[in-house]
Amino acid sequence: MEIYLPIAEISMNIVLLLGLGLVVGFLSGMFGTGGGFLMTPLLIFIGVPPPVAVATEANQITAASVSGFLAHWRRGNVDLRMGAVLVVSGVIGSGMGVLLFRKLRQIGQIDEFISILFVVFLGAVGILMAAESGRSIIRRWKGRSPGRMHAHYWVHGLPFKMRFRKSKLYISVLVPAGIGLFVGVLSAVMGVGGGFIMIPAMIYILGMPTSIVVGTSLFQIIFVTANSTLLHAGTNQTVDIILALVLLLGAVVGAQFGSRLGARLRGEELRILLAILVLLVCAKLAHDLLVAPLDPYSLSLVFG
Amino acid sequence: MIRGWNSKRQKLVSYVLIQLLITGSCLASELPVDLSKHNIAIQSSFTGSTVVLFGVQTATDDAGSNIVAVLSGPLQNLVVRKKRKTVGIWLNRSEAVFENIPGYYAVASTGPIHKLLEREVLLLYQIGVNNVALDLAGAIEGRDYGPYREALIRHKVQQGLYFAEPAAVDFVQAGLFRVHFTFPSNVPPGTYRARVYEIQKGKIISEGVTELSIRKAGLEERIYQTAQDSPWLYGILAVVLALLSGWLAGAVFRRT
Repeated sequence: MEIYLPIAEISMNIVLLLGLGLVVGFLSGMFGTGGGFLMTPLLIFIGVPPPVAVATEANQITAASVSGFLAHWRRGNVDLRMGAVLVVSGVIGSGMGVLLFRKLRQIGQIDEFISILFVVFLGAVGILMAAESGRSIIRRWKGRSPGRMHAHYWVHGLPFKMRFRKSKLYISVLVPAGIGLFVGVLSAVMGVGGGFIMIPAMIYILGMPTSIVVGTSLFQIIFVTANSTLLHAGTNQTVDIILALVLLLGAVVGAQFGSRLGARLRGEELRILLAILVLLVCAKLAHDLLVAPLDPYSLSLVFG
Repeated sequence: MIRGWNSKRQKLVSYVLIQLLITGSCLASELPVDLSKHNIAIQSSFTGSTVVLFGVQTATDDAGSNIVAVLSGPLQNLVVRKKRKTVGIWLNRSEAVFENIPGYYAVASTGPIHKLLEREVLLLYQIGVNNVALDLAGAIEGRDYGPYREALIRHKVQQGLYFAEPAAVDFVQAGLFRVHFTFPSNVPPGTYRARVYEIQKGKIISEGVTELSIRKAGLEERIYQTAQDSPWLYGILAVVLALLSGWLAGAVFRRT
């Protein structure tokens, strides 16, 4: 059964789209991620124009993050003060990201730019995750307990210090602001929430307690992706709400099953699985960039 | 190869006009044609469509006549880009911009078109996929645009919007002909124009024109128009919709 997507201006199989939402939702529920870093490349693989895939995914992530955020909020796992700093810088970053996106689209380099960013970040995150979870699996076999994670780096010596009670931190506001800005830009250009960069950054760079990391990150993602959605719609007209709703429908159901299964599996094995998946998508994108295309010519409508 | 297309076409126009003035056959008579429908609506279940063109030959003598029908879609500005290997990565490095190119183009004929009409006439009337005027925006002197032009047509054919070979003209009965045109789901919305030529001994003796409108309809049209006409309102609606559906999804699954 086909469904016509009014903004993408193509019709796609609704079962395929629901299935994609279901699978990515399942994985994101299981691993506790937003899933944008898988969904956006997969949408591009099945033929959604990259500008529509990125903007629509921003819209879908807003919706997916709301239910996750509310669950964390009820448990009190959100640092609103830290969240506010990340939101302000993230919104500025996503504004810059949408401008960059528009410029790259005008000069015809956006598709490859998105692919390169995904290859770099999926590659880096995949390798780090595989190495880290591999180490902890080995540690478990050898029966050693992991060492203390939180440490003080040079970033803790910067000026404009601010107290974040919930995070038990007294650090320079420049550090979370810088991270928020960077993730905001990436979020807008790549069509991701940015949790896969934000969460490690919060734990390893800021030194936030892991219990409040996910809730605070989701809080930031809601605002940043909402801002990206608004700006993409306003300047590029690339947000397809029909596509977003169909994906969301699949993802919501998938996430419920995913989170139930995820609760029963061990963290390290989960992370190894996710790392493999991330590296597979990365390899496919890298292959398309590095191997001579069948047809070096492409055709598109003049934009802007 | 493309350079000089404009001036070449202008020469052609004057050449043909002079020919017509001399022979006095300037006014080809009217060929009665019509389409099975004049409106196609794109809605949520749209997977493409077909339209049937009907017409009646005006030639009644024994010599008979040939029919050529052209259906072309809304004009688009298109860019063809070429990838080249750049520090190991295949990136778009050069481009050619084409202006006012039909978004859809199909031909049907009773025989090979180059045998029915002179090459000049085919070019002038843009009959045949290789005779579509592909005008460049800002062509650079001395650059070969041939591969870009070929790539444009190749991609349009792959997208199902151009057709490499002319379609068949069926005769339902003596004098009454019929042509099927198909549209894929990615058909560009807009106004389509069917031009039908009746040809006898290499000359166009009558011609007919009819139009077809392909438009998004219903919810699809509303969504598209809102996104185009009030993009910021659309953006706000998209965000509100996302917040509501996210909250709703959370609420539904918290109960179960």
